[in-house]
Amino acid sequence: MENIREILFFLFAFVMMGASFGVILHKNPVKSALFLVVFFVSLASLYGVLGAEFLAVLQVLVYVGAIMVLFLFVIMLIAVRDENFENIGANKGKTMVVFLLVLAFTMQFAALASVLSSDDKINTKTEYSKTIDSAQNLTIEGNAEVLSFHLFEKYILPFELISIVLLIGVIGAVVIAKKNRRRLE
Amino acid sequence: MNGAEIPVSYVIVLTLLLFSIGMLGVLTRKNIIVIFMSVEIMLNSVNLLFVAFSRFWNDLSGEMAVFFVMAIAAAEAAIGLALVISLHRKFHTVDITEIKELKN
Amino acid sequence: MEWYQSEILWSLIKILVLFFLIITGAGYYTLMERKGAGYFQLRYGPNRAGIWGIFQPLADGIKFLLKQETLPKHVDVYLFLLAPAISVITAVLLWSTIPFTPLIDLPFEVLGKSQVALQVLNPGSGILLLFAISSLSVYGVMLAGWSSNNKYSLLGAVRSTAQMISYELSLSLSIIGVIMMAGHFDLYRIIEAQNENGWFFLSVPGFLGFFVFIVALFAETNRLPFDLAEAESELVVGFHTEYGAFKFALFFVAEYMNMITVSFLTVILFFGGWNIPFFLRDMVSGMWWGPLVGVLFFVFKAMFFMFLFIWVRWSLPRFRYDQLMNIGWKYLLPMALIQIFMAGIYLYLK
Repeated sequence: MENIREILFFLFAFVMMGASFGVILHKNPVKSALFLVVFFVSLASLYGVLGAEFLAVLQVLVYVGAIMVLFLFVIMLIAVRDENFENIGANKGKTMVVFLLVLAFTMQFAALASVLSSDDKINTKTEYSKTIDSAQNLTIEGNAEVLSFHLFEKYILPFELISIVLLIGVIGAVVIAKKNRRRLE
Repeated sequence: MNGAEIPVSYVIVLTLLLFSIGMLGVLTRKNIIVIFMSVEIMLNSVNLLFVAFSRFWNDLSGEMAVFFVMAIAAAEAAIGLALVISLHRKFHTVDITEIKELKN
Repeated sequence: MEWYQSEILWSLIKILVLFFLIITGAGYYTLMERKGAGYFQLRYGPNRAGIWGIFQPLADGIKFLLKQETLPKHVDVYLFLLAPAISVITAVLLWSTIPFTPLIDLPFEVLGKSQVALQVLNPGSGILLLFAISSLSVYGVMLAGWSSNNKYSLLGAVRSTAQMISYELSLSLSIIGVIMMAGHFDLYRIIEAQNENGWFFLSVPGFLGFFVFIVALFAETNRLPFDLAEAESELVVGFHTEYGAFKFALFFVAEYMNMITVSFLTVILFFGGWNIPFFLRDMVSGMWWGPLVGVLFFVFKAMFFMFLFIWVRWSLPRFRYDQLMNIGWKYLLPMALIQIFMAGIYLYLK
């Protein structure tokens, strides 16, 4: 019972690995998207294991509840056919180059990982707390609360900018996806 | 030593593997939607690293970064999928090897 | 500490109790619906199995279980079987986050606990988790429609998905006023805030929020007047056209479970949960059975909304699809936004 978080970490890590392989290896885009849903749900669980509860909920809400639904919706609407993988084998040289590139890239990360010894651990039990007013000894606790204080004090400008980016995203998506009526006539 | 602790290096290895898988998907697949999904895998593996380090140093800036990445990813997905739809309308395919023309 | 004093045993007991409640609740809700439909149409409704048809849900359940399982040839087998499971799992998970009782002082210590509340899990991000889970339920519909490999199913699923994601927007915006006034995501604290300041339904932003919330709920649970997913005159029965026997029963039960859960949720958010109205509260205050009366009121208030679902279903005709989208995007969404603005003003004036 003591190391249940560690067990959960490994469980979700393996699920994520399997799901991400599913995404890139499955022929059918709908199945790929569903594997990605599994990936996101287990990633959210992993956030929970690490103690970032608010982000875990947000991950499910934003990625699984909104973005992936949109993906699946588009795939279903345009009726994508299965991809044939035959051409990949025909071009072995290119595939090798790709693998080497990826390998070289991952080495960079491996180097980073080797710097940290296994004694550097994330304490998942650290509670979130923040002192608002040190004179009155006011502190707040809880993930969402402390995050909100960070968001609306230190990061207020990026927050406002993000809202503009989202607005641009909404308008852009509508403009791009809209049928050009004039040309059709 | 408390049992509720996870070594940071585990998380780093995990994210590096996930990022590479995502990159592999981007480089090998031809369906533009699947490429898009592989990009999402890469983004999210980095998010995981942010969260892990944020918890490790007990500094919430990492979690804020994830928050902003999520918001950007939402906008990006909307625009990207709109592009896919208009591409499909024009070329009747989502295979990137068949989309070659700049002008028709 | 003895082995039986652990949290896990308590959680298991609560899970069993609540699971039993939701299963029988859903069963008897179907009976209530059929009886209600009967009386709305000036007929009796089921009255053969036991007095007032009291054993009808049991008979229905047995019938669904004993029917022959069929699997159409053209479907995608795994997803076809997964879809109803997702619907039920999300419905049951949603149920697990609802707090039914305040912390009740037990007269004696049971399994190492002297206080207990009937709620399986109480996450810090309460209402957000609820919405996260409910956003998963769209996958059940979507996968059912897609894996059936059938035009009517796919059309039903696409319609339903578009409807659910459009209305989810209004639904989640409509509770922001409540969250602002309560100052917390936690369902307990939302109820406590109403204990102190009166029901949110009675405040101006709360009323507007409630209106948007209840309309969006009808769309979210795929009920008339918004049940375009299964518009039988156009789409056979929509996304579950290919489903039969127990697989269909799962969809059916999930729908009723969802309705029960959202009825309780409405009461929690806008009608004070186990809060006892008017002068009655002073009468029971201080009594040890006070909280139990509160729970009784909670269930009664929720029953009203459960009845509302039936009432509306048998009174209103179905909307057209474009009308549905118009209502969602052009009326409900602006109303929800105004509601947030008003909640801000309300808090400022207070």
